[in-house]
Amino acid sequence: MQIARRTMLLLGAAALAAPRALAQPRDSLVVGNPVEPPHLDPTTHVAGSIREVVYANLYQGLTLIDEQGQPYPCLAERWDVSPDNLAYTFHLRRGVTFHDGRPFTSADVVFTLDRARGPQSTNANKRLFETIASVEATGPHTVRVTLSRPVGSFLYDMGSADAAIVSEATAATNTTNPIGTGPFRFVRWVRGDRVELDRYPQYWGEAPRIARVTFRFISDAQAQAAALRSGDVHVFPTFGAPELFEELRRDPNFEVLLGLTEGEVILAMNHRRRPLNDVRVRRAVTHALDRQAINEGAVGGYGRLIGTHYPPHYPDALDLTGMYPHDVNRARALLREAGVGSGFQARLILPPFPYARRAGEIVQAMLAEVGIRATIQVYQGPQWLSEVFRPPYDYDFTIIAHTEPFDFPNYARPDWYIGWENQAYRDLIERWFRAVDPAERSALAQQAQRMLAEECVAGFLFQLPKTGVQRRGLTGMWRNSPVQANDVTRAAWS
Amino acid sequence: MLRIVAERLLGFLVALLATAVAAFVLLDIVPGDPALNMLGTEAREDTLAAARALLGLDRPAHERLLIWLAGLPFGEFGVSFRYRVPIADLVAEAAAVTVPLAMLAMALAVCTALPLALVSVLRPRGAVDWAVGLLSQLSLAVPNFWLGLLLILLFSISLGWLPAGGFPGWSGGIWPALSALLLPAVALAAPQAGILARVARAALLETLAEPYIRTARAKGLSRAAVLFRHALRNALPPVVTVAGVQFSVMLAGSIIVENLFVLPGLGRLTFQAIQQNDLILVRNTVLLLAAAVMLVNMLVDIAYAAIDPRLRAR
Repeated sequence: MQIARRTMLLLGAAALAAPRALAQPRDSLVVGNPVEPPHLDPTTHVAGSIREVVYANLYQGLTLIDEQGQPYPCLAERWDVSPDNLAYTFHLRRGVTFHDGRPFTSADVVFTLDRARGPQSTNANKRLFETIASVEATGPHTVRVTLSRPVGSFLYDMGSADAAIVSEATAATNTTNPIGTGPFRFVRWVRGDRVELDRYPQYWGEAPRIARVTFRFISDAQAQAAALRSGDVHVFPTFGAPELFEELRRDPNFEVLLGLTEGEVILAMNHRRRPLNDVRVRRAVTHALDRQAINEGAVGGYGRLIGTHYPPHYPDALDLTGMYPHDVNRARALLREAGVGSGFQARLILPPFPYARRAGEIVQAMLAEVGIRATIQVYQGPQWLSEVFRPPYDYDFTIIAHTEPFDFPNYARPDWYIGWENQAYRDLIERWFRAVDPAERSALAQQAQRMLAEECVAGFLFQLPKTGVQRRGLTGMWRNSPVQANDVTRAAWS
Repeated sequence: MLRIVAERLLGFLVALLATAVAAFVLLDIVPGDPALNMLGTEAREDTLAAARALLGLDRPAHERLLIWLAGLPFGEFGVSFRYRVPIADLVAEAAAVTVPLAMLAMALAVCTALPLALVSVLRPRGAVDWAVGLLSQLSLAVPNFWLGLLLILLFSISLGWLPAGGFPGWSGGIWPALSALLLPAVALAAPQAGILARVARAALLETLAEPYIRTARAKGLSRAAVLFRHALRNALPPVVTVAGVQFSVMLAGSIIVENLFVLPGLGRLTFQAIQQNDLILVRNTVLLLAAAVMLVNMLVDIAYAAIDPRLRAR
């Protein structure tokens, strides 16, 4: 309510203030991010706010992920894969130095991977490294990684921020003084306000056009709008107030960038509880949902509707939104069939994110229409993680965006918060994990999409949009975000 | 005088200890695991255990309480769960924003409120008095985030004179830092100036009704001379009390203004720490802000004694 009121006030006041023509910078860039990173080492913390500053700009991996979500060679110039898909020999790029001047060699790769999979590891995605059986430097610029079983996504995994290559000499201090191999090096961090990066003169690759990039941390949507209009910030890759988009779109100073993230927003249902363990009840819930209305209410209609757990902008995505369409009568009939015709009580736990809270209110009303009386409780992030996402899995419904790339295999995990018991799906995912051939992987992924949709494993709502606003004249920023990152290495002013 | 200071100081220390223990206990039972927060949805038992050991959470609660209390007198508050740096550094950085901001706002408030109160009591119920009354009502009625937005629209977006928010740090020079604090200080000061002006006016009017004022007038002093020499000083105690409370409110309660202007101050630090479950940081900022409020109250009590000789004699 507070936000809505303040937005109204700002809109009213904005009409009074005449916009000023903004001067265009030449080789500096100020990027606005909503959340300040806790520190600057992505290999020991899950926070997306770290990756949104350092990924590809400051740290690099053996591979990196491009805007289309495809891995491309980075610190590894090329690689050979053994016929059994178990051994990868990486040929490392020569002439690469870390920002402290130290040369990059195979020892750094061995250190990075061994640290991530070792017993002291606090890597948030340790499972990415768990299939690695051994890492050995076979020369100063070659590394052989042996896997315990084929992993179809291995080259993709090596491009994640969790696998950023760090030097043993600086690993412990990367949190506050990050040292990587990327085109930008760390200058300073004014805590609570900004992180500044400068072009690294000794960078091995093509020099970026931007000489200095500043990341400013502004969470309040009104403050974000003010910073854009005053010219203090040039781009918000994820802008906090979608209700201001139309206005900014009309302003000749700005350009609105609408894209999609990897975040599938789902209405999770707890399969460990009755009656949600009954597929008829879950189908009834899906029939009760008007996805378009939820999309409009939660994210201004900028998301894309999904009928299963798979990014709809991938080439092998299936549109399954028509499988169980919005149909209140059908929902009621299914509930009667399942023996809960008079409806039931349930708890809808919401994390504090705006999209989840807005969607939650709408979903609550839609569930009420078919007789499911859901009471909403809003949890802070940490409480949501420790009570909903992990044992005791204390919830009936919750709404969350699953933002990890390729996360549909999670439904196969017996310890996952959804609690879906389906052996056929587990076998399918096991085959997908091992599959290396792209066509086979796509076919298996499509089979998984259909299975998730048919069983209504969750209420699949919409793909979370990436709603960016930038100054006109800026080019090279990502429209979509296949990984959590603000890759500014190709940004430039026209 | 010495006894008053000693009594107040003892009370201050006891209250501080009680606050520290309460803050520790309350924040320790808050649901949510800081290690889990650090590792997120893909956390596993082995990485969680490593993270807990890293954060010092593998020790029992009473041990952690004692270690914390023992470190407090030496300025050792512990290491932030989230930022992984000593809390003393974080708090010092944030205080370097909030304390100057509160001082600037307080100076603005006092420097506008006192002159306004003085001119309005020169002719009570006159046109100036009426205008000042309206102005102070208005400044109270306008919420400070809204005033802040208007200031940003005018001075940052339309005119482009001052930044719309953010803080460049004191290392970049005095003027860039001060200019970043100016608009938030005005937004913060306005309602306080309104309150202060009303309190000062009422206190002045009450003092002006005292018999010794009539005596002073009778012996031939001008109205202005009486006002400045006799009335002002005697009207000060309630003004100082209110100003003291206002200063502590500004230290602890500028979260909204700090968020709007993106200032990395104590309010925002605490707010973010709560959001991020950085409980060890919350615990310390709560204690610090409580200490600041208690300290200001103690100083106000002592200042009372300095202003009013009758309290000293007691």
